Amino acid sequence: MDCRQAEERLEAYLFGAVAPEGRAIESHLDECESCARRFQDEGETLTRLASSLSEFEAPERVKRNLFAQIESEKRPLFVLSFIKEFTNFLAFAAKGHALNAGKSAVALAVVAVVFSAVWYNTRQNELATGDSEINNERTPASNENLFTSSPVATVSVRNQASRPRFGNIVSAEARLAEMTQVQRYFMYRMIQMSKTQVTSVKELQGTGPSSRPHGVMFYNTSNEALLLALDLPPLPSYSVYQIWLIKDGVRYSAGTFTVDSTGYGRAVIIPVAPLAEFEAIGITIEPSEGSQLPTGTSVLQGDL
Amino acid sequence: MTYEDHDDKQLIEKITDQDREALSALYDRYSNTVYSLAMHMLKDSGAAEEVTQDVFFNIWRRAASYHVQRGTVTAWLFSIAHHRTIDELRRRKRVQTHVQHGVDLTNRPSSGDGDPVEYAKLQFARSYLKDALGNLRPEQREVVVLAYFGGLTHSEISSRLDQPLGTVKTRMRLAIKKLRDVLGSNVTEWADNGL
Repeated sequence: MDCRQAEERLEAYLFGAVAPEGRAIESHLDECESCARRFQDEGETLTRLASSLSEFEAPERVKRNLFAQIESEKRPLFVLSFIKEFTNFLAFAAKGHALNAGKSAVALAVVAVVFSAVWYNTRQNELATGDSEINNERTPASNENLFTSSPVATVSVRNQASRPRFGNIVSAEARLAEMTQVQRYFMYRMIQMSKTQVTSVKELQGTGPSSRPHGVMFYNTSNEALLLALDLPPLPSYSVYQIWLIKDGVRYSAGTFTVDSTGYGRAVIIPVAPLAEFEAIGITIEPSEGSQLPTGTSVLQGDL
Repeated sequence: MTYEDHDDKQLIEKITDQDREALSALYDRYSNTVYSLAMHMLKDSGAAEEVTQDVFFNIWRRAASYHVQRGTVTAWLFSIAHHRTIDELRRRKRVQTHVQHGVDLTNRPSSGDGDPVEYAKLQFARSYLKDALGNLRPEQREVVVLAYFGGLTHSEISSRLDQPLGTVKTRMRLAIKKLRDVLGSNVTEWADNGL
């Protein structure tokens, strides 16, 4: 985007009158001092407009939930650090080459076990926090709570990949059982794939505002691929990450996934055509029902 | 020096270092204004709570991305809050949900329910925004209400008002210039005093 384009869009951006994909102006503002100066000036004006509204008091639970969400983000850093380093090593060693079947079996099995252990522990902690929140909310409505008298109306189970908004108390055990089953299937598939002669490992790099997200994709001649992503920001309930396989410049949707509060997500990809025909893979943020074509921010990308 | 004595930039620096007390101080300073903006636009206290939590969680994660080129911390913060609220407003329109909670908002208008644009117009009529928007020409005021409080994109405003897109953009530009004159441009003083 150049200055002329940024200038055309600046007021609309400040007023919030651009669609999410139109917020590319932010990157230009990071690079162009004169546009940034104009943005600052006009931004201050709208800040004062926002603050001129009559004030409501945010309920105490908002702050409580915020810090509970931050707390649940704490991860066993040394283990994740190990996983990241090991995954990077795997991707580096396999760049452009097929892994030896025997080594790949051991490597993938270790990664699968460690990932699952960390994921399982993290989920248990989160669900304990969620359960605690649910139990705390089962009290008669106070004067502070202007919702209906139903105690479930105020449940806010955050930090879940697919959280309910209002109501729908689901037992923590049932949720954990379901997620464990999915994770076990994923582990099983990873180890199964490692038995074949050729397994390719491709690295995905972050392309969005943050360079932290990264991922790997494993695939073999059976045309099934497994995707692991790390450090992706958790999304609100109305958004998902959508996978695109790119061939001759055309983007083909390969499914969607969400991440947990640690930013970890995974997906099984079964493409419509042999993977060898695709040139690249990309992941964007899309509405929860998915998109026909990429419309949102690109977050990960890799060559195939 | 307590966190209450820190200015906004100092708090952001500390938040970048994962200092939760600093986030708590920033939250205490601005949560009501963020929540109020979301409430006025969404008319739903549950959604406003979620937006408020998301905004500060976003700040916790993205504090390192703030830099002075983006303006004051408050401008950056309210830009995040406003965009997040707009996203929620558009999502609700897309799925056509009507969230009923029987919430009795103080000063909530009795008509205009279900249409955030109408609600925004009523807010103006009740003088909450009159001082700020009263000096705008009617066509400029309409564009501000539709965009800033109603969550419409400039293309949608253009369709709704049956005006060319260029005209809508010009009205936005003139509205901001006028608002700046009305609301003042003493940026440093406001920033130092946390608005």
